[in-house]
Amino acid sequence: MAALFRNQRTFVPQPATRRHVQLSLLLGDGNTADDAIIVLASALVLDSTSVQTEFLLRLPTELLLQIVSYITNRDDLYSLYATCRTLSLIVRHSLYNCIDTRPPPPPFTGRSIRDDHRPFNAAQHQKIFRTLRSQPHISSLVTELRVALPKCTKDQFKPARGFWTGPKDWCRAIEKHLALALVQLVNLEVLDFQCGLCPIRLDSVSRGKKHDYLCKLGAKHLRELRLSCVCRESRDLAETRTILSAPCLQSITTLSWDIQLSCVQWEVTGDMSQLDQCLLHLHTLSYDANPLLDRLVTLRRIRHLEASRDEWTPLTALSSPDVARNLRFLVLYRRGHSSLCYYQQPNHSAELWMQTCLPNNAQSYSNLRHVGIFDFFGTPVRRPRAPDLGHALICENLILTGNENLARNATIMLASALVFDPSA
Amino acid sequence: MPVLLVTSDNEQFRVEKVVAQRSVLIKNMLEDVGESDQPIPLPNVTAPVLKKVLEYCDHHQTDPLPTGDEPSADESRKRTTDISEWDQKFITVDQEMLFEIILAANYLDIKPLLDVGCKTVANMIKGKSPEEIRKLFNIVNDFTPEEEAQIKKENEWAEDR
Repeated sequence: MAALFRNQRTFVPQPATRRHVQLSLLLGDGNTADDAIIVLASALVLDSTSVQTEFLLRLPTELLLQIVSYITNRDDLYSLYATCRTLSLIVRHSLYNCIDTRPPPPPFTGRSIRDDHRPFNAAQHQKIFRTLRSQPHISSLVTELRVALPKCTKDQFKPARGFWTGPKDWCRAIEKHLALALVQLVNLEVLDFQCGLCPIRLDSVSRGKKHDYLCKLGAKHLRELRLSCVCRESRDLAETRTILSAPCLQSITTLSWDIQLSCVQWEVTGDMSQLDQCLLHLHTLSYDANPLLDRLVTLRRIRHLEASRDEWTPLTALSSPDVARNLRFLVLYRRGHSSLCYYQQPNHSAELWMQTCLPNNAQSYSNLRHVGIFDFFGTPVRRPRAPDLGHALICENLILTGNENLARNATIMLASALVFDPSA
Repeated sequence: MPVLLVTSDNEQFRVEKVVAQRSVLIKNMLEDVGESDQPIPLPNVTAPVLKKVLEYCDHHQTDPLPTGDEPSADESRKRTTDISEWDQKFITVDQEMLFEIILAANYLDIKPLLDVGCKTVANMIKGKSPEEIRKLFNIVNDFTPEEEAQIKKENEWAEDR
Protein backbone atom coordinates (compact mmCIF):
# COMPACT_ATOMS: atom_id res chain seq x y z
CA MET A 1 0.00 0.00 0.00
CA ALA A 2 2.92 2.30 0.76
CA ALA A 3 4.12 1.79 -2.79
CA LEU A 4 0.68 2.68 -4.03
CA PHE A 5 0.68 5.96 -2.17
CA ARG A 6 4.02 6.80 -3.64
CA ASN A 7 2.46 6.23 -7.03
CA GLN A 8 -0.56 8.30 -6.10
CA ARG A 9 1.55 11.26 -5.16
CA THR A 10 3.22 11.28 -8.55
CA PHE A 11 0.14 10.26 -10.48
CA VAL A 12 -0.57 12.42 -13.47
CA PRO A 13 -3.98 12.12 -15.13
CA GLN A 14 -3.66 10.43 -18.47
CA PRO A 15 -6.00 9.68 -21.33
CA ALA A 16 -8.07 6.59 -20.60
CA THR A 17 -5.95 4.09 -22.45
CA ARG A 18 -2.73 5.11 -20.74
CA ARG A 19 -4.40 5.27 -17.34
CA HIS A 20 -5.57 1.71 -17.75
CA VAL A 21 -2.07 0.64 -18.50
CA GLN A 22 -0.89 2.37 -15.34
CA LEU A 23 -3.57 0.63 -13.29
CA SER A 24 -2.63 -2.73 -14.65
CA LEU A 25 0.96 -1.95 -13.78
CA LEU A 26 -0.07 -1.10 -10.25
CA LEU A 27 -1.93 -4.39 -9.93
CA GLY A 28 1.08 -6.12 -11.33
CA ASP A 29 3.17 -4.66 -8.51
CA GLY A 30 1.25 -6.69 -5.98
CA ASN A 31 -1.49 -4.20 -5.19
CA THR A 32 -5.05 -5.35 -4.80
CA ALA A 33 -8.08 -4.53 -6.92
CA ASP A 34 -9.34 -2.31 -4.09
CA ASP A 35 -6.13 -0.33 -4.27
CA ALA A 36 -6.70 0.11 -7.98
CA ILE A 37 -10.21 1.38 -7.38
CA ILE A 38 -8.86 3.98 -4.94
CA VAL A 39 -6.34 5.11 -7.52
CA LEU A 40 -8.99 5.16 -10.23
CA ALA A 41 -11.24 7.30 -8.06
CA SER A 42 -8.44 9.76 -7.31
CA ALA A 43 -7.50 9.82 -10.97
CA LEU A 44 -11.05 10.67 -11.93
CA VAL A 45 -11.06 13.52 -9.42
CA LEU A 46 -7.79 14.80 -10.86
CA ASP A 47 -9.15 14.39 -14.37
CA SER A 48 -12.25 16.43 -13.71
CA THR A 49 -10.07 19.12 -12.13
CA SER A 50 -7.87 19.18 -15.19
CA VAL A 51 -10.86 19.58 -17.48
CA GLN A 52 -11.83 22.62 -15.49
CA THR A 53 -8.39 24.13 -15.23
CA GLU A 54 -6.67 23.27 -18.50
CA PHE A 55 -7.46 26.79 -19.64
CA LEU A 56 -4.57 27.19 -22.04
CA LEU A 57 -5.51 24.22 -24.18
CA ARG A 58 -9.12 25.37 -24.33
CA LEU A 59 -8.10 28.41 -26.34
CA PRO A 60 -8.81 28.20 -30.06
CA THR A 61 -5.86 27.51 -32.34
CA GLU A 62 -5.59 31.07 -33.63
CA LEU A 63 -5.17 32.40 -30.10
CA LEU A 64 -2.59 29.76 -29.24
CA LEU A 65 -0.73 30.78 -32.39
CA GLN A 66 -0.88 34.40 -31.32
CA ILE A 67 0.61 33.55 -27.94
CA VAL A 68 3.36 31.56 -29.63
CA SER A 69 4.11 34.52 -31.92
CA TYR A 70 5.29 36.46 -28.86
CA ILE A 71 7.80 33.76 -27.99
CA THR A 72 10.98 34.15 -29.98
CA ASN A 73 13.57 32.35 -27.89
CA ARG A 74 14.23 28.90 -29.29
CA ASP A 75 14.58 27.26 -25.89
CA ASP A 76 11.17 28.59 -24.85
CA LEU A 77 9.63 27.36 -28.10
CA TYR A 78 11.17 23.94 -27.56
CA SER A 79 9.84 23.77 -23.99
CA LEU A 80 6.37 24.46 -25.29
CA TYR A 81 6.86 21.96 -28.12
CA ALA A 82 7.80 19.25 -25.63
CA THR A 83 4.85 19.91 -23.32
CA CYS A 84 2.07 17.97 -24.99
CA ARG A 85 0.81 16.89 -28.40
CA THR A 86 -1.55 19.81 -28.89
CA LEU A 87 1.12 22.40 -28.20
CA SER A 88 3.73 20.52 -30.23
CA LEU A 89 1.46 20.83 -33.27
CA ILE A 90 0.92 24.52 -32.59
CA VAL A 91 4.60 25.31 -32.03
CA ARG A 92 6.37 23.07 -34.54
CA HIS A 93 6.26 25.56 -37.38
CA SER A 94 7.69 28.40 -35.28
CA LEU A 95 10.33 26.07 -33.86
CA TYR A 96 11.61 24.71 -37.15
CA ASN A 97 10.71 27.49 -39.55
CA CYS A 98 14.16 28.99 -39.19
CA ILE A 99 17.27 27.06 -38.28
CA ASP A 100 20.08 29.38 -37.39
CA THR A 101 23.45 28.08 -36.23
CA ARG A 102 25.14 31.43 -36.24
CA PRO A 103 26.95 31.92 -32.96
CA PRO A 104 26.09 35.00 -30.95
CA PRO A 105 28.13 37.99 -32.05
CA PRO A 106 31.41 38.44 -30.20
CA PRO A 107 32.10 41.49 -28.08
CA PHE A 108 33.14 44.47 -30.14
CA THR A 109 36.86 44.34 -30.83
CA GLY A 110 37.16 46.47 -33.92
CA ARG A 111 38.57 43.49 -35.79
CA SER A 112 37.18 42.19 -39.03
CA ILE A 113 34.95 39.12 -38.87
CA ARG A 114 37.50 37.36 -41.00
CA ASP A 115 40.04 37.67 -38.17
CA ASP A 116 37.59 36.61 -35.55
CA HIS A 117 38.58 33.15 -34.38
CA ARG A 118 35.92 31.26 -32.48
CA PRO A 119 35.45 27.60 -31.67
CA PHE A 120 33.67 25.57 -34.31
CA ASN A 121 31.29 22.94 -33.01
CA ALA A 122 31.38 20.23 -35.65
CA ALA A 123 29.27 17.87 -33.56
CA GLN A 124 26.42 20.35 -33.45
CA HIS A 125 26.44 20.77 -37.21
CA GLN A 126 26.61 17.04 -37.67
CA LYS A 127 23.43 16.66 -35.66
CA ILE A 128 21.65 19.46 -37.46
CA PHE A 129 22.39 18.11 -40.89
CA ARG A 130 21.57 14.57 -39.84
CA THR A 131 18.25 15.67 -38.36
CA LEU A 132 17.32 17.59 -41.48
CA ARG A 133 18.31 14.69 -43.68
CA SER A 134 16.49 11.98 -41.76
CA GLN A 135 13.39 13.76 -40.43
CA PRO A 136 11.16 14.79 -43.34
CA HIS A 137 8.50 16.15 -40.98
CA ILE A 138 11.08 18.69 -39.80
CA SER A 139 12.90 19.39 -43.04
CA SER A 140 9.63 20.19 -44.78
CA LEU A 141 8.99 22.93 -42.19
CA VAL A 142 12.29 24.73 -42.71
CA THR A 143 12.02 27.88 -44.78
CA GLU A 144 15.20 29.55 -43.54
CA LEU A 145 18.57 27.93 -42.99
CA ARG A 146 21.38 30.11 -41.72
CA VAL A 147 24.69 28.45 -41.10
CA ALA A 148 27.86 30.28 -40.08
CA LEU A 149 31.14 28.49 -39.64
CA PRO A 150 33.64 30.75 -37.93
CA LYS A 151 37.30 30.70 -38.68
CA CYS A 152 39.02 28.62 -36.05
CA THR A 153 42.35 27.06 -35.26
CA LYS A 154 42.94 23.35 -34.89
CA ASP A 155 42.78 23.70 -31.10
CA GLN A 156 39.38 25.31 -31.30
CA PHE A 157 37.95 22.61 -33.54
CA LYS A 158 35.52 20.39 -31.68
CA PRO A 159 35.41 17.24 -33.78
CA ALA A 160 32.50 14.90 -34.21
CA ARG A 161 33.35 11.23 -34.04
CA GLY A 162 33.24 9.55 -37.42
CA PHE A 163 32.23 12.72 -39.14
CA TRP A 164 34.99 15.21 -39.63
CA THR A 165 38.40 13.95 -38.81
CA GLY A 166 40.76 16.77 -39.41
CA PRO A 167 41.36 20.17 -40.90
CA LYS A 168 41.71 18.88 -44.44
CA ASP A 169 38.20 17.46 -44.29
CA TRP A 170 36.43 20.41 -42.78
CA CYS A 171 35.17 22.14 -45.86
CA ARG A 172 34.50 19.03 -47.85
CA ALA A 173 32.71 17.21 -45.08
CA ILE A 174 30.53 20.16 -44.31
CA GLU A 175 29.57 20.59 -47.91
CA LYS A 176 28.83 16.91 -48.32
CA HIS A 177 26.49 16.79 -45.34
CA LEU A 178 25.00 20.20 -46.01
CA ALA A 179 24.27 19.08 -49.57
CA LEU A 180 22.40 15.99 -48.36
CA ALA A 181 20.36 18.08 -45.96
CA LEU A 182 19.58 20.76 -48.54
CA VAL A 183 18.05 18.23 -50.90
CA GLN A 184 15.41 17.56 -48.24
CA LEU A 185 14.54 21.21 -47.65
CA VAL A 186 11.86 21.45 -50.29
CA ASN A 187 10.25 24.56 -48.80
CA LEU A 188 13.46 26.46 -48.23
CA GLU A 189 13.14 30.13 -49.09
CA VAL A 190 16.28 31.59 -47.55
CA LEU A 191 19.72 29.99 -47.53
CA ASP A 192 22.50 31.83 -45.77
CA PHE A 193 25.81 30.01 -45.63
CA GLN A 194 28.86 31.80 -44.28
CA CYS A 195 31.98 29.69 -44.25
CA GLY A 196 35.09 31.14 -42.69
CA LEU A 197 36.65 27.82 -41.77
CA CYS A 198 39.28 27.15 -44.40
CA PRO A 199 42.60 27.14 -42.68
CA ILE A 200 44.36 25.54 -45.64
CA ARG A 201 44.68 25.86 -49.35
CA LEU A 202 42.25 23.59 -51.05
CA ASP A 203 44.21 23.02 -54.24
CA SER A 204 45.35 19.65 -53.01
CA VAL A 205 41.84 18.50 -52.14
CA SER A 206 40.05 17.81 -55.37
CA ARG A 207 36.86 15.90 -54.82
CA GLY A 208 34.33 17.85 -56.78
CA LYS A 209 33.73 21.55 -57.12
CA LYS A 210 33.21 23.65 -54.04
CA HIS A 211 29.70 24.98 -53.57
CA ASP A 212 28.29 22.99 -56.47
CA TYR A 213 25.65 21.64 -54.03
CA LEU A 214 23.89 24.92 -54.75
CA CYS A 215 22.98 23.54 -58.16
CA LYS A 216 21.12 20.60 -56.59
CA LEU A 217 18.88 22.17 -53.98
CA GLY A 218 15.56 20.54 -53.18
CA ALA A 219 13.96 23.97 -52.77
CA LYS A 220 11.27 24.88 -55.25
CA HIS A 221 10.89 28.54 -54.37
CA LEU A 222 14.19 29.82 -53.04
CA ARG A 223 14.04 33.61 -52.94
CA GLU A 224 17.18 34.55 -51.05
CA LEU A 225 20.67 33.13 -51.32
CA ARG A 226 23.58 34.39 -49.26
CA LEU A 227 26.94 32.76 -49.72
CA SER A 228 30.11 33.91 -48.07
CA CYS A 229 33.28 31.89 -48.41
CA VAL A 230 36.80 32.85 -47.46
CA CYS A 231 38.61 30.05 -49.28
CA ARG A 232 41.73 31.63 -50.69
CA GLU A 233 43.41 30.81 -53.94
CA SER A 234 41.32 27.75 -54.51
CA ARG A 235 41.00 26.65 -58.10
CA ASP A 236 38.26 24.11 -57.61
CA LEU A 237 35.38 26.42 -56.83
CA ALA A 238 32.41 25.83 -59.02
CA GLU A 239 32.10 28.76 -61.36
CA THR A 240 29.73 31.53 -60.41
CA ARG A 241 28.06 31.32 -63.80
CA THR A 242 27.51 27.55 -63.47
CA ILE A 243 25.94 27.86 -60.03
CA LEU A 244 23.76 30.85 -60.75
CA SER A 245 22.47 29.25 -63.94
CA ALA A 246 21.08 26.27 -62.01
CA PRO A 247 17.28 25.86 -62.43
CA CYS A 248 16.72 25.63 -58.65
CA LEU A 249 18.07 29.16 -58.21
CA GLN A 250 16.03 30.96 -60.82
CA SER A 251 13.34 32.12 -58.39
CA ILE A 252 15.88 34.16 -56.42
CA THR A 253 15.14 37.82 -55.86
CA THR A 254 17.92 38.47 -53.36
CA LEU A 255 21.50 37.40 -53.88
CA SER A 256 24.50 37.99 -51.68
CA TRP A 257 27.66 36.59 -53.21
CA ASP A 258 30.83 37.13 -51.25
CA ILE A 259 33.75 35.05 -52.43
CA GLN A 260 37.36 36.08 -52.13
CA LEU A 261 38.55 38.06 -55.08
CA SER A 262 41.47 35.75 -55.72
CA CYS A 263 39.02 32.93 -56.40
CA VAL A 264 36.99 34.69 -59.01
CA GLN A 265 39.58 36.65 -60.92
CA TRP A 266 39.85 33.86 -63.42
CA GLU A 267 36.11 33.95 -64.05
CA VAL A 268 36.46 36.91 -66.36
CA THR A 269 37.57 34.51 -69.03
CA GLY A 270 34.94 32.58 -70.94
CA ASP A 271 31.47 33.58 -71.96
CA MET A 272 30.48 36.68 -70.00
CA SER A 273 26.93 36.55 -71.33
CA GLN A 274 26.08 33.19 -69.77
CA LEU A 275 24.15 34.86 -66.95
CA ASP A 276 22.22 37.20 -69.21
CA GLN A 277 19.08 35.03 -69.13
CA CYS A 278 19.43 33.99 -65.50
CA LEU A 279 18.03 35.36 -62.24
CA LEU A 280 15.40 37.38 -64.04
CA HIS A 281 13.60 38.35 -60.81
CA LEU A 282 16.67 39.66 -59.04
CA HIS A 283 16.21 43.06 -57.38
CA THR A 284 18.57 42.91 -54.41
CA LEU A 285 22.23 42.22 -54.97
CA SER A 286 25.21 42.25 -52.67
CA TYR A 287 28.58 41.08 -53.92
CA ASP A 288 32.28 41.21 -53.68
CA ALA A 289 33.98 42.51 -56.81
CA ASN A 290 33.02 40.08 -59.55
CA PRO A 291 32.87 41.07 -63.22
CA LEU A 292 30.00 38.68 -63.93
CA LEU A 293 27.83 40.30 -61.29
CA ASP A 294 28.93 43.76 -62.39
CA ARG A 295 27.34 42.81 -65.66
CA LEU A 296 24.18 41.62 -63.91
CA VAL A 297 23.78 45.05 -62.29
CA THR A 298 23.32 46.53 -65.74
CA LEU A 299 20.88 43.82 -66.89
CA ARG A 300 18.42 43.61 -63.98
CA ARG A 301 16.27 46.19 -62.25
CA ILE A 302 18.37 46.26 -59.08
CA ARG A 303 16.79 48.36 -56.36
CA HIS A 304 19.04 47.43 -53.48
CA LEU A 305 22.75 47.22 -54.22
CA GLU A 306 25.68 46.57 -51.95
CA ALA A 307 29.00 46.20 -53.68
CA SER A 308 32.54 45.79 -52.49
CA ARG A 309 35.12 47.64 -54.50
CA ASP A 310 38.83 47.37 -54.47
CA GLU A 311 40.60 50.59 -53.51
CA TRP A 312 39.45 53.34 -55.82
CA THR A 313 37.84 51.26 -58.52
CA PRO A 314 34.50 52.78 -59.45
CA LEU A 315 31.45 50.64 -60.20
CA THR A 316 31.13 51.45 -63.87
CA ALA A 317 27.57 50.10 -64.04
CA LEU A 318 26.46 53.15 -62.07
CA SER A 319 27.29 55.38 -65.01
CA SER A 320 24.20 53.99 -66.72
CA PRO A 321 21.22 56.31 -66.09
CA ASP A 322 18.84 53.32 -66.05
CA VAL A 323 20.82 51.53 -63.38
CA ALA A 324 21.05 54.70 -61.29
CA ARG A 325 17.32 55.37 -61.65
CA ASN A 326 16.35 51.91 -60.36
CA LEU A 327 18.39 52.23 -57.20
CA ARG A 328 16.66 52.86 -53.87
CA PHE A 329 19.44 51.70 -51.63
CA LEU A 330 23.15 51.79 -52.30
CA VAL A 331 26.04 50.86 -50.05
CA LEU A 332 29.56 50.70 -51.35
CA TYR A 333 32.16 48.82 -49.43
CA ARG A 334 35.76 49.90 -49.69
CA ARG A 335 38.39 47.33 -48.97
CA GLY A 336 42.06 46.60 -49.40
CA HIS A 337 42.84 50.07 -48.26
CA SER A 338 45.52 50.25 -45.63
CA SER A 339 44.91 52.41 -42.59
CA LEU A 340 48.36 53.87 -43.03
CA CYS A 341 47.59 54.94 -46.56
CA TYR A 342 44.28 56.39 -45.42
CA TYR A 343 45.84 58.69 -42.91
CA GLN A 344 48.89 59.63 -44.93
CA GLN A 345 47.01 60.58 -48.06
CA PRO A 346 44.22 62.93 -47.08
CA ASN A 347 43.25 63.32 -50.71
CA HIS A 348 41.99 59.77 -50.62
CA SER A 349 39.06 60.83 -48.53
CA ALA A 350 35.66 59.24 -48.43
CA GLU A 351 34.24 62.25 -50.25
CA LEU A 352 36.62 61.81 -53.14
CA TRP A 353 35.93 58.12 -53.26
CA MET A 354 32.20 58.65 -53.32
CA GLN A 355 32.53 61.12 -56.14
CA THR A 356 34.65 58.63 -58.05
CA CYS A 357 32.17 55.82 -57.53
CA LEU A 358 29.02 57.77 -58.21
CA PRO A 359 29.16 59.57 -61.53
CA ASN A 360 27.95 63.12 -61.40
CA ASN A 361 24.49 62.63 -62.87
CA ALA A 362 22.31 63.74 -60.01
CA GLN A 363 19.01 63.48 -61.88
CA SER A 364 19.55 59.79 -62.50
CA TYR A 365 19.48 59.01 -58.80
CA SER A 366 15.95 60.34 -58.36
CA ASN A 367 14.76 57.19 -56.57
CA LEU A 368 17.75 56.72 -54.33
CA ARG A 369 16.81 56.95 -50.67
CA HIS A 370 19.88 55.65 -49.00
CA VAL A 371 23.58 55.62 -49.69
CA GLY A 372 26.32 54.53 -47.37
CA ILE A 373 29.97 53.73 -47.11
CA PHE A 374 31.52 50.73 -45.50
CA ASP A 375 35.10 51.10 -44.42
CA PHE A 376 36.64 47.68 -44.04
CA PHE A 377 39.19 48.83 -41.51
CA GLY A 378 36.70 50.38 -39.21
CA THR A 379 38.06 53.86 -39.72
CA PRO A 380 35.28 56.35 -39.16
CA VAL A 381 34.40 57.97 -42.44
CA ARG A 382 33.21 61.56 -42.43
CA ARG A 383 29.85 62.25 -43.96
CA PRO A 384 30.31 62.74 -47.66
CA ARG A 385 29.14 66.09 -49.00
CA ALA A 386 27.22 65.43 -52.16
CA PRO A 387 24.13 67.63 -52.30
CA ASP A 388 23.94 67.06 -56.04
CA LEU A 389 22.60 63.55 -55.51
CA GLY A 390 19.07 64.76 -55.85
CA HIS A 391 16.76 63.22 -53.26
CA ALA A 392 19.39 60.83 -52.06
CA LEU A 393 19.96 60.67 -48.37
CA ILE A 394 23.63 60.74 -47.61
CA CYS A 395 23.93 58.75 -44.44
CA GLU A 396 26.81 58.86 -42.13
CA ASN A 397 28.85 55.82 -41.31
CA LEU A 398 26.03 53.37 -41.63
CA ILE A 399 28.11 50.37 -41.01
CA LEU A 400 31.28 51.32 -39.24
CA THR A 401 33.36 48.22 -39.28
CA GLY A 402 33.48 44.64 -40.41
CA ASN A 403 32.42 43.54 -36.96
CA GLU A 404 29.54 41.13 -37.02
CA ASN A 405 28.05 42.71 -33.94
CA LEU A 406 27.43 45.93 -35.77
CA ALA A 407 26.57 44.22 -39.02
CA ARG A 408 23.68 42.44 -37.28
CA ASN A 409 22.39 45.73 -35.98
CA ALA A 410 22.77 47.42 -39.32
CA THR A 411 19.11 47.09 -40.17
CA ILE A 412 18.19 49.25 -37.24
CA MET A 413 20.83 51.78 -38.14
CA LEU A 414 19.68 51.87 -41.72
CA ALA A 415 16.05 52.07 -40.76
CA SER A 416 16.70 55.08 -38.56
CA ALA A 417 18.68 56.66 -41.37
CA LEU A 418 15.81 56.24 -43.77
CA VAL A 419 13.54 58.57 -41.84
CA PHE A 420 16.11 61.34 -41.91
CA ASP A 421 15.64 63.60 -44.88
CA PRO A 422 17.89 66.64 -44.95
CA SER A 423 15.86 68.21 -47.74
CA ALA A 424 12.62 68.08 -45.71
CA MET B 1 -25.42 58.35 -24.88
CA PRO B 2 -25.15 55.18 -22.79
CA VAL B 3 -25.32 51.70 -24.26
CA LEU B 4 -26.95 48.73 -22.60
CA LEU B 5 -25.01 45.45 -22.71
CA VAL B 6 -26.49 42.12 -21.61
CA THR B 7 -24.21 39.27 -20.60
CA SER B 8 -24.76 35.53 -20.97
CA ASP B 9 -25.90 35.37 -17.34
CA ASN B 10 -28.47 38.09 -18.03
CA GLU B 11 -26.76 40.87 -16.15
CA GLN B 12 -27.10 44.33 -17.64
CA PHE B 13 -24.32 46.90 -17.94
CA ARG B 14 -25.02 50.48 -18.89
CA VAL B 15 -21.84 52.08 -20.24
CA GLU B 16 -20.88 55.15 -22.21
CA LYS B 17 -20.84 54.64 -25.95
CA VAL B 18 -17.22 55.75 -26.23
CA VAL B 19 -16.23 53.02 -23.77
CA ALA B 20 -18.34 50.31 -25.41
CA GLN B 21 -16.96 51.20 -28.81
CA ARG B 22 -13.49 50.07 -27.83
CA SER B 23 -14.97 46.77 -28.92
CA VAL B 24 -15.03 46.60 -32.70
CA LEU B 25 -17.87 44.06 -32.46
CA ILE B 26 -20.05 46.44 -30.45
CA LYS B 27 -19.00 49.41 -32.57
CA ASN B 28 -20.12 47.60 -35.73
CA MET B 29 -23.38 46.50 -34.12
CA LEU B 30 -24.14 50.07 -33.07
CA GLU B 31 -23.39 51.31 -36.56
CA ASP B 32 -25.65 48.64 -38.04
CA VAL B 33 -28.66 49.33 -35.83
CA GLY B 34 -28.19 53.10 -35.67
CA GLU B 35 -29.62 55.13 -32.75
CA SER B 36 -31.54 52.62 -30.63
CA ASP B 37 -32.30 51.81 -27.01
CA GLN B 38 -32.17 48.10 -27.73
CA PRO B 39 -29.86 46.19 -25.37
CA ILE B 40 -26.90 44.50 -27.03
CA PRO B 41 -26.70 40.81 -26.13
CA LEU B 42 -23.24 39.37 -25.50
CA PRO B 43 -23.97 35.64 -25.21
CA ASN B 44 -20.30 34.65 -25.00
CA VAL B 45 -19.33 36.84 -22.06
CA THR B 46 -20.26 36.46 -18.42
CA ALA B 47 -20.86 39.37 -16.06
CA PRO B 48 -17.62 39.12 -14.06
CA VAL B 49 -15.57 38.99 -17.27
CA LEU B 50 -17.46 41.85 -18.93
CA LYS B 51 -16.98 43.93 -15.80
CA LYS B 52 -13.26 43.40 -16.08
CA VAL B 53 -13.22 44.08 -19.82
CA LEU B 54 -15.17 47.30 -19.33
CA GLU B 55 -12.66 48.38 -16.71
CA TYR B 56 -9.97 48.06 -19.38
CA CYS B 57 -12.06 49.88 -21.99
CA ASP B 58 -12.83 52.69 -19.58
CA HIS B 59 -9.17 53.21 -18.76
CA HIS B 60 -8.16 53.16 -22.44
CA GLN B 61 -11.16 55.04 -23.83
CA THR B 62 -9.01 57.90 -25.14
CA ASP B 63 -6.32 55.72 -26.74
CA PRO B 64 -6.17 55.85 -30.53
CA LEU B 65 -7.88 52.87 -32.08
CA PRO B 66 -5.44 50.43 -33.67
CA THR B 67 -5.60 50.30 -37.45
CA GLY B 68 -3.79 46.99 -37.73
CA ASP B 69 -1.30 48.22 -40.30
CA GLU B 70 1.08 50.20 -38.14
CA PRO B 71 4.59 49.79 -39.54
CA SER B 72 6.06 48.64 -36.27
CA ALA B 73 3.18 46.40 -35.28
CA ASP B 74 5.07 43.27 -36.20
CA GLU B 75 8.15 44.27 -34.28
CA SER B 76 6.28 45.30 -31.18
CA ARG B 77 4.59 41.92 -31.21
CA LYS B 78 7.95 40.37 -30.54
CA ARG B 79 8.59 42.39 -27.41
CA THR B 80 6.65 40.42 -24.91
CA THR B 81 7.57 42.54 -21.93
CA ASP B 82 6.24 45.84 -23.22
CA ILE B 83 3.04 45.79 -21.19
CA SER B 84 2.30 49.08 -19.49
CA GLU B 85 2.29 49.23 -15.72
CA TRP B 86 -1.45 49.75 -15.51
CA ASP B 87 -2.13 46.88 -17.91
CA GLN B 88 0.18 44.60 -15.95
CA LYS B 89 -1.67 45.37 -12.77
CA PHE B 90 -5.00 44.99 -14.54
CA ILE B 91 -4.12 41.57 -15.96
CA THR B 92 -2.81 40.22 -12.66
CA VAL B 93 -5.72 37.86 -12.15
CA ASP B 94 -6.13 34.15 -11.67
CA GLN B 95 -5.66 31.91 -14.68
CA GLU B 96 -9.33 31.27 -15.24
CA MET B 97 -10.06 35.00 -15.44
CA LEU B 98 -6.98 35.62 -17.59
CA PHE B 99 -8.09 33.13 -20.23
CA GLU B 100 -11.71 34.32 -20.01
CA ILE B 101 -10.49 37.86 -20.69
CA ILE B 102 -8.50 36.63 -23.69
CA LEU B 103 -11.52 34.81 -25.08
CA ALA B 104 -13.76 37.81 -24.44
CA ALA B 105 -11.27 40.22 -26.04
CA ASN B 106 -11.16 37.95 -29.07
CA TYR B 107 -14.95 37.71 -29.27
CA LEU B 108 -15.49 41.42 -28.70
CA ASP B 109 -12.62 42.25 -31.05
CA ILE B 110 -10.59 44.41 -28.67
CA LYS B 111 -7.14 43.93 -30.14
CA PRO B 112 -5.07 45.82 -27.54
CA LEU B 113 -6.64 43.80 -24.73
CA LEU B 114 -6.12 40.58 -26.66
CA ASP B 115 -2.46 41.52 -27.09
CA VAL B 116 -2.04 42.21 -23.39
CA GLY B 117 -3.59 38.84 -22.54
CA CYS B 118 -1.53 36.87 -25.05
CA LYS B 119 1.68 38.63 -24.07
CA THR B 120 1.00 37.86 -20.44
CA VAL B 121 0.60 34.15 -21.20
CA ALA B 122 3.76 34.24 -23.36
CA ASN B 123 5.66 35.86 -20.49
CA MET B 124 4.41 33.15 -18.16
CA ILE B 125 5.88 30.53 -20.50
CA LYS B 126 9.26 32.16 -20.97
CA GLY B 127 12.19 30.51 -19.21
CA LYS B 128 10.25 27.44 -18.13
CA SER B 129 10.92 23.77 -18.79
CA PRO B 130 8.24 21.54 -20.34
CA GLU B 131 7.48 20.10 -16.93
CA GLU B 132 7.14 23.54 -15.39
CA ILE B 133 4.77 24.60 -18.19
CA ARG B 134 2.67 21.47 -17.62
CA LYS B 135 2.50 22.21 -13.94
CA LEU B 136 1.68 25.88 -14.46
CA PHE B 137 -1.16 25.26 -16.87
CA ASN B 138 -2.18 21.86 -15.56
CA ILE B 139 -1.42 20.18 -18.87
CA VAL B 140 -1.25 16.42 -19.17
CA ASN B 141 1.83 14.96 -20.79
CA ASP B 142 0.18 12.84 -23.48
CA PHE B 143 3.36 11.85 -25.32
CA THR B 144 4.30 8.23 -25.41
CA PRO B 145 7.84 7.45 -24.17
CA GLU B 146 8.83 6.87 -27.79
CA GLU B 147 7.51 10.26 -28.83
CA GLU B 148 9.32 11.93 -25.96
CA ALA B 149 12.56 10.25 -26.99
CA GLN B 150 12.02 11.35 -30.58
CA ILE B 151 11.37 14.96 -29.52
CA LYS B 152 14.50 14.98 -27.41
CA LYS B 153 16.52 13.57 -30.29
CA GLU B 154 15.21 16.23 -32.65
CA ASN B 155 16.53 18.90 -30.35
CA GLU B 156 19.94 17.39 -29.60
CA TRP B 157 21.75 19.84 -31.82
CA ALA B 158 20.33 22.84 -30.01
CA GLU B 159 21.40 21.45 -26.66
CA ASP B 160 24.93 21.10 -27.99
CA ARG B 161 25.45 24.81 -28.53
